[in-house]
Amino acid sequence: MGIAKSVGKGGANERRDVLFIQATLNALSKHLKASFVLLKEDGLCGPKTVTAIKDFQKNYVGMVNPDGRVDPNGKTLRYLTMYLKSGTSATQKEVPALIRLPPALVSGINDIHVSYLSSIPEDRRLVSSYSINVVKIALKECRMNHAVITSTLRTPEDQAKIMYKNAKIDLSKQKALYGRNGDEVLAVYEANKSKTESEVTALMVEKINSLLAKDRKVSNHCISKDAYAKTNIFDIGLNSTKAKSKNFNKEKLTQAFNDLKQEGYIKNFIDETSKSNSCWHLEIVPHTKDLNIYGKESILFLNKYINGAYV
Amino acid sequence: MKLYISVLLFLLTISCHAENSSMQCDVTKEKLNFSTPTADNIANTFWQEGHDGYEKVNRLHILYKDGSVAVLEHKYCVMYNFEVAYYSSNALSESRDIVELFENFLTFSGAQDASGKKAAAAINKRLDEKGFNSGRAVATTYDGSTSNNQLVEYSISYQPLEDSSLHKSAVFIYLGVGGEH
Repeated sequence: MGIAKSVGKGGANERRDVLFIQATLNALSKHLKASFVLLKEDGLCGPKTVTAIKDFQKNYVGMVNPDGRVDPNGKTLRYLTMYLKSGTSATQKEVPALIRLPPALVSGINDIHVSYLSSIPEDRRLVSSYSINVVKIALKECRMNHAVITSTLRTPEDQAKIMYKNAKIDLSKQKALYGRNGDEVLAVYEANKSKTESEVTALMVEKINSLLAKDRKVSNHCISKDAYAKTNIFDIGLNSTKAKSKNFNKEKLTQAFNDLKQEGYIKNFIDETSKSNSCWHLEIVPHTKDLNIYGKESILFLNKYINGAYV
Repeated sequence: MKLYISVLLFLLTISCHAENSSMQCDVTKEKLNFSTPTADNIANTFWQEGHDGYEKVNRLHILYKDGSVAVLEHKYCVMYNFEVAYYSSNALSESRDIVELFENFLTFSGAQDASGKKAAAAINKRLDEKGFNSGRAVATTYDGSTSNNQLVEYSISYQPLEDSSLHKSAVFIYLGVGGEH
């Protein structure tokens, strides 16, 4: 699905490609109730076609200075084809039929997957569809197609077990890795390490809970289920994502998460891809901003049907 | 030959042990900016250096002319911890006083970040929501990420000191950058 050569101002404007762009713009104009005028589908690229491309670039791609040209594999083409069924070689006549009605209209991100690491139990697969869509937007921008969630909610019991296991190996290292709150839990381990594992972890759980009662977290992942529903906290694993995704690009994905943080879609983003954790840590407040208003001013654009379809 | 193998095994054991017991510290004194406050109300300051496990500790003691005392501790290795214990000879009258102390002491942390302003604003709001009363202990935290996407946590707590004639209130401030999330 796409064009062989560039279409629009200064483009090669081969008839078949121009027809495809004209038909796609016309179909989108109807479905999106867009402002650009309907074009005559004649395969000739004149001023009206260039103007329609510019309008689309300005209003739906978020380009400040639209150039009026659609390049093969370019950003404009990606956003034009976002609305089309994937994996199809379309001719001009077929284009309108390929455009689906909502909610399946978001085929652009339907082809992008966010999965959980297999070891994450069902009852911890709590990341909301809103947060999943935010990750999909980041992946879309990088032309990646898969991300793997490697960590979600941790109960105080989970946290205590992790800390007990690691403290047993090297307590000083753990003290260096944790901040003040974690150090207080490790102090409980240190004072009671002669006791049985279950006794020590029970005391550590008690400490974690007493800190939580004072709004002090040992780990950002270790919060109540209610708090988790309000703020989704999860990690995207670098290696597992690299293994699953096409066009994997660590730098681009980092930049996309950073952009989404700047835009207010991600509350907190911690880049730990260069650390032993090897992950992107994300904290997203569901519905903090409507996904359907995302775009005109942003480098990332999402179509308006995401809310209706997924969130 | 046996002796040679024994020596080799012994050296290997020592080498492995040394590797296990060391830690790569990304945060070093050179990367941090420590400063000593100078103001008319300060009588004396002095620094201490030490270790806590793998972490280096630089501690600044500040003695104020009115009898107040502050200890500012920088602890760092894989993450940076900045902690302040301030014992004031006066009771604080409003939440704004606490926020001002928070902002003032943060200027002496070794890792300045734009998130400090957000933290101060959030802490101010939360203290107001809690309804500050100088006779009652209060605490709040703020966590987020720094401008270069590291974990950051701020916290502050206030305690009236009714049983002390030397100091009337204590304020504890914490800033942690990096570390386990």
